[in-house]
Amino acid sequence: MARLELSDLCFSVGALDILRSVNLTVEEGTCLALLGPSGCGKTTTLRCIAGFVQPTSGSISFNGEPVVGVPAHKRNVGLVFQDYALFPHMTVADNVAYGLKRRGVPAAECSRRVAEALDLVQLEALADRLPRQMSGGQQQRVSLARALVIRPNVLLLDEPLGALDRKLRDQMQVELKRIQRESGITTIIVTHDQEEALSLSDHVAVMFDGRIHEVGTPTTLYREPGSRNVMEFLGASNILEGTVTSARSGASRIRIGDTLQLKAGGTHDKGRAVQLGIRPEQFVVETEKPGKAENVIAATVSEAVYKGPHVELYVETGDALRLLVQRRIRGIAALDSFEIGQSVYLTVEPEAILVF
Amino acid sequence: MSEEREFRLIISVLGWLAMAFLVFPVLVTVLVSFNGSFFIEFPPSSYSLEWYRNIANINKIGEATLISLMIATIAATLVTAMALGTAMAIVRYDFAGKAALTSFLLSPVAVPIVAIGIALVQFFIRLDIAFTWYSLVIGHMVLVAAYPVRTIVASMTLYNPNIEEAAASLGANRWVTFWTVTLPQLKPGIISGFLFAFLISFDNYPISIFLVRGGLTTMPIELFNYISQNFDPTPAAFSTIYILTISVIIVFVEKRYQVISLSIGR
Repeated sequence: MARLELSDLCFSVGALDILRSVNLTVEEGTCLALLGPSGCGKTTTLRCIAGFVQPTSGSISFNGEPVVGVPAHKRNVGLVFQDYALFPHMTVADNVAYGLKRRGVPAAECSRRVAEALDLVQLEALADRLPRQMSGGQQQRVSLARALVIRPNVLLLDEPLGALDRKLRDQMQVELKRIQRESGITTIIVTHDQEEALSLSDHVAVMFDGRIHEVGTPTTLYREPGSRNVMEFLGASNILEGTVTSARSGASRIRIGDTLQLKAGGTHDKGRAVQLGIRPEQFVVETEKPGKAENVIAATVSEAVYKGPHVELYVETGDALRLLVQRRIRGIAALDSFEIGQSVYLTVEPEAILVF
Repeated sequence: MSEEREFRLIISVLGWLAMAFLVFPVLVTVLVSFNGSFFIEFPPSSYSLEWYRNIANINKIGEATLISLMIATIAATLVTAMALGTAMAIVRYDFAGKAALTSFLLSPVAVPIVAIGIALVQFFIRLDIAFTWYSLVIGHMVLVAAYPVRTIVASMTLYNPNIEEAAASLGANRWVTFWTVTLPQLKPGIISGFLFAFLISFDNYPISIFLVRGGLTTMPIELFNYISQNFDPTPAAFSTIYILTISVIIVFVEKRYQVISLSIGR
């Protein structure tokens, strides 16, 4: 277990900059999700930490010890690949024992630790199977046990749930979280799936274009993202362009289009062009015009999509602004109450509007 | 549904016809070897084990078979070891002249074998090593080199290179990774490549005929000499034993090392 620190990490191939100064700290025993779209450099970052890629410049340290230049097999890093990369010719037990044998762990201790690791992932009964005789979820857990048994400095998971189907993925998310907590190993999960990132980790680092844009707890990043990019990448959002018309005592009025005026939290400079971010679930939807006049948007429904626990409404305002609204379904009749072309009134709290 | 059945029927008829075409000459050989009369006749009018007893009368057959075994073993072993390195270079790395090297390595398959034999004997005479057992080994290596390269390349493209990185992350250096992960994964390709090389060397006639003189001789050469001077079914008896031995070896290797996975994939 170790505190992991990346500072000013750069990696280029020819003229192509893949990592442009990555700075990141993962505290001992915590789990960080490295989230970003494909090609943003998150896998390269992981490969730099594992030692498969030599960074062009910058440093990586485990507990303050620099590891750049240390070959991969001496870094003591646990790695779980998206395709598991189990050794096909070895049984589950031999796969898990592989790292212990390389460390010269005596046979008795080796088999005890293998049993412990298999117990942790609840696969003790399948120790003698070959990887090809197991399901994807089971192989995934073997690969996790194999990485954990060596008591690595850091555990790196590359899109760990990417190859599993939906239901299994949800199960494994809970499992992974439990295993990470119980083992207490510093962990980095690379993923492009925002839901996976939010639910698995203590901290999320959002990466675009070879740079870390923002690091924070899942709640902070989702509720108060620091930039429009981060907000749009994490979950669904509505982004509106506007201008600040007045500001006083912790609140600002922002004009959007010709007729709409919204009040948002925070004092912003008058006349500044801003972008407003509103999460779709922050709207209160009513069919009758509410008594309160503030932050009410009149719109017509252009599409209603049933999603199970909630309904998604695509609405359009008089200024041709398109908004996405999520409404939780409580009664059985809730869905029927929205028809295409129907007038609705959306209300949003000033505090729920983010200003960028 | 009936179209599906029709299709299956046609495919299986064609399959069985192809099988019959391949197996029929072998069956004739086996039947003829139990022939009772002195002349080859089909179907035999009487049966005996006479020609099996007569195998010993083929000139130098024991010694020639041993030499063939030795030549084939050495040639196949060396060629397979070389093919392992070559295949890794071809699959893993990019280098200047890779395409040229690849096609050159596979070329003996495309050149008439007799032409290779003529070229080799002239080359060996110039080097002053002609008609020695090691020049025969070298000749056979040239002949069979392509086969293990092909099977090992096939094995390598089937396997997931991530497992080597997994091994490295678990503490294995390059050398340990090669022995514990890479080599076991390539085993089907290595074994079937070796087997191809061994069998093709073992019953090769057209190259050996240029490279042997005097005391140096091989099994196919002595067998052919016998056939050209005698008409009796002794060679058929010898061939039956040969076919049986090879079949047992191939079935065993397929079962034991899952060589079949090379062509089908897992």
